[in-house]
Amino acid sequence: MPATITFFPVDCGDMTLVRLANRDETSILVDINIRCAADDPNDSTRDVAKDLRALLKYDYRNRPYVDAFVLTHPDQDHIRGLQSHFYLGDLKDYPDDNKAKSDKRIVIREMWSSPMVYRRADSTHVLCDDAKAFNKEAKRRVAVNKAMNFSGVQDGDRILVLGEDENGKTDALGPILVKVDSTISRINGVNQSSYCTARLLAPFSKQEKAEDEALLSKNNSSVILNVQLASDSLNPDGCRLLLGGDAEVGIWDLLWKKHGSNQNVLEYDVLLAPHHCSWHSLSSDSWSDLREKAQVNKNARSALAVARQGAWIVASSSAIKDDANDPPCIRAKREYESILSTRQGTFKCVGEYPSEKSPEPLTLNVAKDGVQIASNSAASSSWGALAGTGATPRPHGQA
Amino acid sequence: MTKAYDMSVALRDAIDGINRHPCLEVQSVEERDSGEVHVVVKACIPLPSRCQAGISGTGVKSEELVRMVFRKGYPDEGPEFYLRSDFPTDLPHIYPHKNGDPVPPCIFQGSVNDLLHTEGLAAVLDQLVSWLERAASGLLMNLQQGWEPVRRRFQNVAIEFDPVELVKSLPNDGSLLRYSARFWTVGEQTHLRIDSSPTQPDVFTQERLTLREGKSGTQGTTQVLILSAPSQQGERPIFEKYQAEVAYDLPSLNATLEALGCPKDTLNSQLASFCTQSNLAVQTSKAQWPWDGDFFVGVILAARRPVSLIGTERDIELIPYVVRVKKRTTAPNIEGAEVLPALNLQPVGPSLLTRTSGIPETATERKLVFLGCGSLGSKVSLHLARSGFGKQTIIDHETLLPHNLARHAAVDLQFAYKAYQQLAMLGSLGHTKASALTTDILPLLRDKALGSEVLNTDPCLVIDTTASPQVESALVISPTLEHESPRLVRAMMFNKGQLALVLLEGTGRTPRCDDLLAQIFEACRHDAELRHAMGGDSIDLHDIVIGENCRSVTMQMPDSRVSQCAADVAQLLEGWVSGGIPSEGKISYGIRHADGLTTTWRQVSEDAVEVLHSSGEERWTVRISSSTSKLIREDSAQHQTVETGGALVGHVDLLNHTIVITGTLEAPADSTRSPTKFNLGTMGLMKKVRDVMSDSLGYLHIAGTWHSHPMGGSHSEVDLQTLKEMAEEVPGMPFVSLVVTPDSVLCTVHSA
Repeated sequence: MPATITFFPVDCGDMTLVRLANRDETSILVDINIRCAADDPNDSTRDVAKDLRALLKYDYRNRPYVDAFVLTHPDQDHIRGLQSHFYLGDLKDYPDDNKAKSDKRIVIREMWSSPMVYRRADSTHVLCDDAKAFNKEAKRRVAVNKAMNFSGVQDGDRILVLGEDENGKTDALGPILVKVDSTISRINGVNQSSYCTARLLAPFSKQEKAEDEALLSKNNSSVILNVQLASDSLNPDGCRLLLGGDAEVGIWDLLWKKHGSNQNVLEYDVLLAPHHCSWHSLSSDSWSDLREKAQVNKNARSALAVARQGAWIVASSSAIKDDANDPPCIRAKREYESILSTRQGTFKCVGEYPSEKSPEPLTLNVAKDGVQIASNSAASSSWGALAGTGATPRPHGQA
Repeated sequence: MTKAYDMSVALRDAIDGINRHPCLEVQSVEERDSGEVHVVVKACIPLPSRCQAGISGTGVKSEELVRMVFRKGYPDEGPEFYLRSDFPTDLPHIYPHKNGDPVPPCIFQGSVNDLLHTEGLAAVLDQLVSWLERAASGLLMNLQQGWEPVRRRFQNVAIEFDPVELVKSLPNDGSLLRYSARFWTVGEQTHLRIDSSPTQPDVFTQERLTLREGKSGTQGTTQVLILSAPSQQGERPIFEKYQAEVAYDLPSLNATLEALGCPKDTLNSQLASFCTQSNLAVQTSKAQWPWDGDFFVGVILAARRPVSLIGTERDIELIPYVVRVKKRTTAPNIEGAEVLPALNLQPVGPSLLTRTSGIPETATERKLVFLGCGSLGSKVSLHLARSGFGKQTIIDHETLLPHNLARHAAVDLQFAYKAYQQLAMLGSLGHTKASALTTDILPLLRDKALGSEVLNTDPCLVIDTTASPQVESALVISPTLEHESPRLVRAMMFNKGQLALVLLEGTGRTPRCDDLLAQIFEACRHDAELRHAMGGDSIDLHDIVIGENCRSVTMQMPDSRVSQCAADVAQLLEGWVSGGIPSEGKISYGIRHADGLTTTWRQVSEDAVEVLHSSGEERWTVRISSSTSKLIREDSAQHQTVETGGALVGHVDLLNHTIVITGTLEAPADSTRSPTKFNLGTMGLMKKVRDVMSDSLGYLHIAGTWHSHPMGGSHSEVDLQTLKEMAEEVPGMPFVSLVVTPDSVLCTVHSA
């Protein structure tokens, strides 16, 4: 199987699955937004949990798993559905072994957490139940790692904390702390450097944010990763996937100031447009108030414009309309299209793929020279696909 | 010459279907004189994002024209696909073709015809588009999964050889390896089979085969020539460049030889010399064709690849061809030979059979010993052999008689003995490690020196399918089957196949086969369905006339019933050997239902038995089933202050001096219990005794009594006197008395 990147249609929210080209097809899930409506069989909202499960592997105990789960930041539209669909706690107590395959909760072998798990909830830092559950699990795993002196930690207890938090709260995390500007190629304890190298660009430490309180919000503490994916072991630079979480304009402005002279770290074949194609990632002005008078922040735009030839920018949002809405914002879309125009690139909104009426997961295959969309198939419009049935069993009588 | 085409309904639907596909668009439709319809289709292919100028790094364009050829047989026969003649051919999944001809992609691993008929044309078109997409992105081959062997299209030309074995004998210096081979040809089929060891091959020989329906073919002997690039500094050179098959004659084969570093002169001169020598050996006139049909030689090119071939651990690809000189009127000359890309067919043998069955090789490598090769044994053995279990030893001293063919796996009497016939069948499946013995089983079981090597060396299971009472008796006390020896299985059928029974002894031979057999009759006492299936309404054995002055006493039933039972038994054994043989004893029985279709299998576990030696008549051994042992202890514990007891049910083996206790009868209501005495009452006892006999189909009876001594102590004088009196009731039969004390169970046996 080639390496793939799949964006699930989750309206305004993020849910991205990366599968590597290695033999184990290592999986990295970045954020989830599995809404109740998607879980309701009587609701026509796309059942993205089912889509996700169809792409996951099952371990020798027949439990579905992801090798790594990345939470860019603890907002509801990035963590919704965690408790219903994922197992949290010690794997020794996994309770779903006797359940139907589709009802078994997904095992998270390794968590990649934002350092915000250490932050106290307050008026600027309100957490939904799923985010609280994530924090609790992250803290459990950190405690297990510390108790084992970070050695011999097993699947289901592994965790990486992406970025340092304020006041030295993350200082004692030893090897499970990933500092900004370093790279990750060990995924769930296995060196995957031939297939994947992820560079952590944010969250910035408080010092780097120049004491700007506004930059301490959840969105601006979002994890930003630039992930290099191999098409196979001989072609490590198949594609660069830049995942911007919900980072807003100030962060992109800072990133350009920091990396403008070494743009390579911002270069991408695929950009998941930050904050669901929000204008606020490109500008400090309000789109709904100022409309066309709103000014683009040049640095932020530059940081988001290091597109390679033929690059893709994907907006994980509902359909983008020409209105005052933000996000998704039509003006942001136009700005991204303008970035792509010189690179013969493609802008795609997940909520409009292949149609606004009936969106489906958007999958890009990683080739040695960029990404390639799997073309629409004729059979997918047939009755079988409509009914969601699997292959019809075939008789066999011949040797 | 083409003309405008009047489309049939099926073709019109196909063309509509193509136009409905989001990536395809029909450009032109032409009917050829042959009746073929060529539909030229434009395919719009999404290229990897960094590709420029509408062409991928692999040379695929964002718009490709595909020629779809619908033959007259459509839709019985699916369409064929051809790409432009300069389409890149350094990609896998391309069929053999001539350089410069349109390039035929292999869009689907299975049959396009099957795909068309099961999923419809849309699925076939999706496969085409997906193939082009993967060709564009270089994903037709994933080196992580392995190297894709070069593709072959037709199955009519094949060379049968084991690639693993062939690679082992490959020279390092680029010299030619020659194998002798047999071949047959029928119609368009040409099949070569390499002889198992490299020999100095003879010349090409050929004789005519006359078949039915006016069909004919040829068969004979030839050579297969194997060539690889010479090693450089001790290392085989690696050939990383993929190339679809384009060899169709000697010059194009020579181009392939060059690309793979093989010394082409060596091959060409050997081909010419073999053709000439073969001609000289048989020719009558220099100017004439000397054989009945075409002249063939096999050629295999070996090339080391950068990674292992897909699904193997071997990085050397073997690319087979048949070089053919068509029969003509003039003398043969290799110059004008055709080169036919050939399939490699793996010879039948343990590895092919194991792969086909899906049973792990670690299991199929285990040794099995079959005691008896009758109708059930031969079929179980053959099922297992077909699943890959080749290390079988078949022991049977009987010869095959004509009536045996009614149900035996054999279909002829060629090898006289049942064991030899079975060995020949296993041999034809490529099992060279099977063996057969035509000695009597009984001496092997009774004499450890004689039987140990056969029965105790390596096998994981000894499987008795003789249904012979003598073998059963010998198995019970066999000194050859030691405690650490392989596990014993007995498989048998009762009541014309209404019941199939498989007994697996526990580790250390406890429970033993006699314990387990007695236990199934104990189960009959409590289960009317089992009893009915085992006993039925008629006797099992019939006299069957097998000759004018001769009869055979056997069970009357059709072959299909034996086969059904054999298949179930084989699956049970496969499961045990591959999944781990349970440590405890197992009784598995299948009851055939009245519908004639269903067999319901049940499996019961039996723990180790308690073995006691008689303190009275010392020749007797008493074996108490674990459930009985537990029951009498619990009953004793419940009556802490008074003696209690009951009757024992079991089976007596007079020849082996063994009494197997399978259960108890509750003490009758008029029994009395006191601190110093237990009196077994008689109320209703005789009916129960009769019931034991009838419900166990005559196998079990009252074998003795038990009572407790809560304060300890062995049999009292009163106990021994009572035992003697009871034994006198059944003269000639031993009677058991057990005393259960808080610490142990004591046993004495008396026979009158």
